[in-house]
Amino acid sequence: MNITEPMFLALTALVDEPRHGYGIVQEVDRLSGGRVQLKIGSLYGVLDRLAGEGLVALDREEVAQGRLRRYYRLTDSGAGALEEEAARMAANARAATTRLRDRTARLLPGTATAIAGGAW
Amino acid sequence: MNELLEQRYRTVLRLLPRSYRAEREEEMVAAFMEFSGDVPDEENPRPRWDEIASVLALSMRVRVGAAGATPRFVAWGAAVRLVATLGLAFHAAAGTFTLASLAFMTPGSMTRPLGVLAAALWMPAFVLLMRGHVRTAKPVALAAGAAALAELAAWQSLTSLFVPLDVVPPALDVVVPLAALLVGFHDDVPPVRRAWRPTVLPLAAGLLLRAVVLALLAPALGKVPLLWPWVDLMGLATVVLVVAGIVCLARDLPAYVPLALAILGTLMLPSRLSLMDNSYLSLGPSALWVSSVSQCVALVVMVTVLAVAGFRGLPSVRQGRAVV
Repeated sequence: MNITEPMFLALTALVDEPRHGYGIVQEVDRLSGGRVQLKIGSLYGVLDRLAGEGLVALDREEVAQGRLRRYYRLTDSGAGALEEEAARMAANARAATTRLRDRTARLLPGTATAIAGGAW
Repeated sequence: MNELLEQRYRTVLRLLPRSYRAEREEEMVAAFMEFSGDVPDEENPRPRWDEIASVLALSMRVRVGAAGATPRFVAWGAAVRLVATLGLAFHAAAGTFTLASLAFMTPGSMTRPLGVLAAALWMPAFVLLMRGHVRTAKPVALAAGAAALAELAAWQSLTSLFVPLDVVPPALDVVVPLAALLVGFHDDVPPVRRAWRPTVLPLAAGLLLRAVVLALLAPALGKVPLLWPWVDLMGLATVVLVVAGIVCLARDLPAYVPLALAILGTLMLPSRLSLMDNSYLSLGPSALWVSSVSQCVALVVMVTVLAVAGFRGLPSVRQGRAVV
């Protein structure tokens, strides 16, 4: 299953505790530093997909100020999928960081001169 | 306080299928109202356009069988994908036909570069779709469709008279399968890699038709105009659709198959109707006109029977979505 960024963030938002729709929107906003702001229609598209794959499940229903709140929780399978995706992303980030470090080392003035001198 | 905004958001939610609203409306309204905070009715508040767009996108996804859809919409989603696949198969067959025709052109004949470009793009678009590369197939198919529509517009600009039956059917033949491709093959549908045999079949059919069948029939075509409506691509597609419809009904295939064939037959019908209005037919023998009418009648009957069978076979509206 292809886990998109909103799905990844929604799963992450449910790691510490079950949350209701708006709670997930707020937490995703916080986790992404305001970069990902889920619209309500998008949120329920994401929840439908995650629930369809068994990665989240309904935890409980509450009525607050006369309105229905459904709380969703991360399932064990959701935690596994999130862990796997996080590991994949971390490996990608490590590879990128290593290559960037190598590039910086190559471009350092002293190193760059040495490389240029050797090459010509 | 907030009543107007809630009322308006509920109106927006009517974009969603009734079955989905029955399950989700209250919690979506609750989430939206919490998100919006206190907004006095005096400020004439409305849901923002991006909120409306997100509901519209959700509605489209649910209606073509994305996660959260009822079995009925899952069947509709499969029908839409079959329309896209068979529509692209037709264009791929027409593509090989067009490219093969280049080999038979006499020196000095006029070629249509946009038409040739479209023909050359439909083929890889179809192959990519069949081999499971949906994300790559979409832009290639869009490029093919754009070239085909540009060709149609260029051709139309040469004539001063706008005849809707000459322009609208070929435009719909391009637009409908493309829209079905974009909407039907969403992220919730895992790509399926089809075998090579059905992948190359339309390409081989287009090539065979132009390089062998028409080449063999060429001497007879001028003398027997009765053959004309049966050897053009849409005429053959009509025959294929009617045969496929009979097989589909005899084998009692799942509802999405007759529905998809009914949609495709409806698309083909205006093309056949335009033939009856065509000058070469009106000047030709009456048997020719009768042959075109018989194609139209066969299509109308088959589309009607397929649509009835398809709607009857759809899962009940009451079959709800799976509870989360």
